[in-house]
Amino acid sequence: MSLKKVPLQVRVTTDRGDFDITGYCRGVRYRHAIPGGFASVQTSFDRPLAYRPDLIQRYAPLRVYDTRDGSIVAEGRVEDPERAAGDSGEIWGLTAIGGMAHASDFTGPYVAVDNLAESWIRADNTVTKTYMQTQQDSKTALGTGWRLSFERGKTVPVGNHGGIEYRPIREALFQKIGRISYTYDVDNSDTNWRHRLFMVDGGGNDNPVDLGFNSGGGSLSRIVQTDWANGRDRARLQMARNTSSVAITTDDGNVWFSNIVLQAVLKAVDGTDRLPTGSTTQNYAYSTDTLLAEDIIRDLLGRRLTKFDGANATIAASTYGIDLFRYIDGADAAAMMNDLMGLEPNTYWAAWESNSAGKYRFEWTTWPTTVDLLTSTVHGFDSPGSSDELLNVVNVRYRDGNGKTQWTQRTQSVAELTAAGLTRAAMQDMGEEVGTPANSAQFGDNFLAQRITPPNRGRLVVKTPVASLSRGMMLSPHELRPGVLTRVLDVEPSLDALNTVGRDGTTVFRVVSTDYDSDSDSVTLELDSYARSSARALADIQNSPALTRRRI
Amino acid sequence: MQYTFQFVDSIQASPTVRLDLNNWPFLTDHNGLNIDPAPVRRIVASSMLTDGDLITRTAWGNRTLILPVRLIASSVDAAATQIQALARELCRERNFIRINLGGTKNYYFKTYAAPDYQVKLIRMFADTPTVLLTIPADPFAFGEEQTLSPITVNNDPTAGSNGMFFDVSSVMGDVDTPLNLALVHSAAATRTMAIGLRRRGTVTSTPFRLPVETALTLITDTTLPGADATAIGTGSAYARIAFANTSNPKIRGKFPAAANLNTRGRYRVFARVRKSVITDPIQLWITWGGNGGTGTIVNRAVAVPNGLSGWMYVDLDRMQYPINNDPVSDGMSGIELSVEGHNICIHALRGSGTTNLDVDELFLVPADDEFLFASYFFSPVTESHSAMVIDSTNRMIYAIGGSGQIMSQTLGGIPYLAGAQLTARPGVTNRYYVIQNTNGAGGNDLKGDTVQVTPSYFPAYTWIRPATT
Repeated sequence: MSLKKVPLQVRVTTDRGDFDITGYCRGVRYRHAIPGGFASVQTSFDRPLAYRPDLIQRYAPLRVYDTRDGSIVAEGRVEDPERAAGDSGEIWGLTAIGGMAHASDFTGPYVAVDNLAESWIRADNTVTKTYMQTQQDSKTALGTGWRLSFERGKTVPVGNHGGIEYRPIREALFQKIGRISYTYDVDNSDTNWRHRLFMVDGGGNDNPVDLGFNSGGGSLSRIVQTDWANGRDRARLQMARNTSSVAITTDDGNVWFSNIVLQAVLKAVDGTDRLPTGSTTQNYAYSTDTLLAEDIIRDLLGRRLTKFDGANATIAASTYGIDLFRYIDGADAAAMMNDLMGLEPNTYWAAWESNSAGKYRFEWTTWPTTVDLLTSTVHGFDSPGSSDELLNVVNVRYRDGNGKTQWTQRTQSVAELTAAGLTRAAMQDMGEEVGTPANSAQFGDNFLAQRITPPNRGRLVVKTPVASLSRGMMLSPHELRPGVLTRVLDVEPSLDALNTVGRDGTTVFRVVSTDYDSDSDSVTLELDSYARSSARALADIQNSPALTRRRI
Repeated sequence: MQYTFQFVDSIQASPTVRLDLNNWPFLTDHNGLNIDPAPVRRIVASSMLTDGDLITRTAWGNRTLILPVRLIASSVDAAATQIQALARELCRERNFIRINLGGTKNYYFKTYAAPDYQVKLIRMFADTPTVLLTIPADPFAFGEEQTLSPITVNNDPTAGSNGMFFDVSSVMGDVDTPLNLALVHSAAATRTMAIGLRRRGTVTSTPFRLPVETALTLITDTTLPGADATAIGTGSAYARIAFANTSNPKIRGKFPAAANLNTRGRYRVFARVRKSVITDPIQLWITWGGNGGTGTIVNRAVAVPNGLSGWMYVDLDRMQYPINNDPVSDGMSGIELSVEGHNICIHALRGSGTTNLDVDELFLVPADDEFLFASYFFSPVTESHSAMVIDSTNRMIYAIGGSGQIMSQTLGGIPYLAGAQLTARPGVTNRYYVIQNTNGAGGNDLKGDTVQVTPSYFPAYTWIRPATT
């Protein structure tokens, strides 16, 4: 009869071979977290330090298997090994970083949707360009946009033109434009004054709009494939003189552009461009000024997150239309997805085990609303308890299209605060990447919704199998993963604990991370938000966004 | 009675004896001899919230052999020579000590270096010292390797013998011991083989094979096209999903039909399926649980691999009987409770195109004891492989040649084992269920395929070995 060992296998694959190190590693510890998924695996083993063993190789896959059913319970790529020599002998330490790290493999500019007027620059291309005047201006109060005109007192020859140009999508490492929409207005009805839209790239251009001022004002949109060839990466809005020259004698020779919104061509999960027609499964209509988080996620999977299994990814449907998603100063996919989590309520992203092709299973999903794990406090539970995250007001700061700092305030009713007659407000910074009035309001509402009940920053230790209602089976400590709700059976119940939607802060908690140690065969669940610890506090300080964003 | 305490070079019937500790000039003293079973390490979960402590995990620790050995030499120089020989054996990083305490069979301890022993001088002269050897060793004593007769494992569960399984029984020894397998295919073969072990209860009653066409009910959009010699199903029958609509599930039913003790457990579900258009995308998944309806547990959907025109096995993840809580026995009685079957529902969705999905069988491979994926490329001609060896002792897989030599492998990638170290347990029938070719790694799955499996193991003992077991 065999004794009941911890049923795990630790395996490292290098170009020298495939190594099962279960028999001689000094235990294994691994951590999973939301967002992110598999975070890290740590183990160590005894070998002389004088030479590097074949199984040590930077970025080698390290996998931990459940030997009962062959499933992967933890995985990562080996970082620089640690070495130590002392009373315990000569020891190599391996730390493998989980697939979530690939979301930070690449940092660079990215644009999905851009509605900032300051994204445009003056771009005259006529001999008499000094006659051209362009300025950020708006015909309506509090609006943002541009006004094009020719200088009063000058005579504008036929063919003279000038205006503004949009380049950020191109500068975002040669993304392409998928849609443009704007509102325009004119101050006269001279048919020889034209407003034109050009879509340009290095190989040519298309001219989808050429309207005389006699057409008056209006709003329009144009899209790729229908109105210009795929590949155009710059847009030009021009005012031009047609047919006959004119002397400028009044101040009414203006064309106004406002609410200018551009979208980049999106990628499908396989990296191909999503166009309005031509595919049976991946067409994208570019029919609105906003994007859904799910479409940005698909774009990131096809464009940057190539280490994730985009083809088989789980992507939850989104509801909120995002009107600005623009990282001109650069960002990695992890940061962008974390911003999307703030806009789409109750969502998270995670990368888990790899498949036979070496790609990690990816999910963009929502927190469940039903309890999964049935746990108890018998092996350890601590909850420091705090009401400091009950909030009824949040002030969200962002920069508008003219580069000015703006604020959005959102409120909610919190019973405990109302009863105590308290108003507690926090501040959040949307910056210029995603900061718009609509996005700020959405983010603020989601932020407050997570603070209507006390988050239980605590830890729960599990040493025995627990029932998983979603999996229909008993799960051992080493099998537990975050991203689920747990009901802790011997904690004070609340009135609605048996009819839970999401967590209730008293009995039902979100599991946000798990830390497993094979030496004790136990897992520590971090509940709701991360447990208070010095390490966590330092990490929060390091990762918090700058209070001001500077332009380089 | 002459007892045996010898340093030898290997575990086999006639190893080279490097140093005999119970033959002149050495004499092993029975006073102080200690070959106790290895200690056991335990993880104990205790708290003030419950009575008693729960032992959640146990594992053997290394044992310590204590051998008092007296040296009787004719001179100090002669004694020094013998002590040097002893020191050299004790300094070997790994060594074998063969022991026999008067029984029929020898047994072997695999030891670690232990040159730090105590010396007791009987007289002031160093020609008759007694040394107390304290030698750490692996937990178990081992007998000579037992190699079983080759078993031909058929890829067809309806075959006359060894239909997708093989048994290892009458295992010698006291405890589980690593099981090595030598695999031989009739031709070059790329395989990701799945092996699941069941060795409790009545293994013949394991609910392994689920013939879809007879055990489950076809829902709208699914038909039985008729016999196909390549299908496993009864009368070579199989089910066809035509995707005339998107309703799900396509096939469902309760399995097994009757309650049984041996239903209990966790299983990894494999579906044998086929696409008519090899590039059209299909998502396949199961739901399970309950006595009616579609089941409450939803397994993750998987993509049926593209590129194969024939049958393939698709891994549909795990399932458990019973669903959720399982007390196993009635209170404190230890009397095991029977387990009712539950609904299993097969769902499929076609993303685009016109393909059908044919479903032949479902296989429930036990996944609650030991489960292993073995990935390899067997190349008898180009690479001159004679067999692939799943070496559970050393936790690796490699190819061997005709003389048992290790062969390098340049084609097919690095072979690997993912999952358990397979073992064989004495006193039970160890049944190993085999899915030879999972996820299409080796091309179309052919029910006529076979693999010859030759199991071998070293019997493991806690401290002493009987004559025949």
